[in-house]
Amino acid sequence: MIVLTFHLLLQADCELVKIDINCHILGDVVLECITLGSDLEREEMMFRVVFNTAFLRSNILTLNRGEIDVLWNTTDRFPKDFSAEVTNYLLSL
Amino acid sequence: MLEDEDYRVYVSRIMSQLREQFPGASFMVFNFRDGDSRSRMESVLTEYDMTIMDYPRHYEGCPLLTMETVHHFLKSAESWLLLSQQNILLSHCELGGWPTLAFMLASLLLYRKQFSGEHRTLEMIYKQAPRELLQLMSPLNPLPSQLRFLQYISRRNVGSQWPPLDQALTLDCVNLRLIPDFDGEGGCRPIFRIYGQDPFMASDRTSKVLFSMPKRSKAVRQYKQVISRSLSLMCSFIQTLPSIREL
Repeated sequence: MIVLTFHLLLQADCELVKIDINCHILGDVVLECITLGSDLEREEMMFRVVFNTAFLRSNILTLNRGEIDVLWNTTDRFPKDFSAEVTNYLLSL
Repeated sequence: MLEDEDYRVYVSRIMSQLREQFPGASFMVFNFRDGDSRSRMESVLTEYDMTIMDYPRHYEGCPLLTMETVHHFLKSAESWLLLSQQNILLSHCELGGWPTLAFMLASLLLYRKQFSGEHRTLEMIYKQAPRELLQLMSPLNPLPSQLRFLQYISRRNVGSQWPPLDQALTLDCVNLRLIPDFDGEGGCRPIFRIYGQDPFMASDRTSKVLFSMPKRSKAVRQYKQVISRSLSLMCSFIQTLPSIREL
């Protein structure tokens, strides 16, 4: 019973941030995620991902902590179970 | 950085040694560099009757090249090597080009199935130079994206078209599961930028900024980790355990 309660607690606190993009892409794509300082000016690179649209096998590209390019020695700033999910759909030109 | 004359002497000495060691061999040089002007390497190599092919040094700051360029490189390298047993391929990069050169060599070894395993192959090449060189030349660890591209190459199926046809997509959204700590307080204020080819400009294949979230938009928000809250909740819960048991 206690174990079950623990599980529910963790589930409820699992957080997900959705950021809308809506950008048309083709071929080799560089996606950068940058964090802004409190002055909304200062920038620091959080991670970068390069992928090619022709090789995507599903409409969600899931990238875990080991699959993103980060500044050297900053992996620890990402929670162990961090992931970024890039959602795409086919664009009919 | 060597002066022009010193550079000429340096490269000439290497070329003479190669000629001595491989008499009768023909050489083709792949050169990774920036700019449109004639490279120093090219001006030296004309004296040696060697073919030189220039490739970019990066793609939008990342030490890898577009799949189209990789494909061109692989085809050129393979046909050169298959043409004659006496054909030798040399690779050279200008300052800063080492991570891209390593990636391209790994792609060739995997493409020709001379090596297997993307990670093993790339590591083997990086070991040929001091490790610090990679960190010095690339502010970000480029291995995850380089490995992704190497998988595109090594996981191709015989018989199916490679590379596959381009497909235009709409990148709808990005979901971040759990928040990284970039402000020292367990949070961050993320914005996104996307670079690539514009699908609506078929004739122009150069990459450009396709998306840039304005810094002052409403979408820019501070997110905080809640993991610490859940941990403290768990702690307080654990503290109450003995009393529960007592009950």
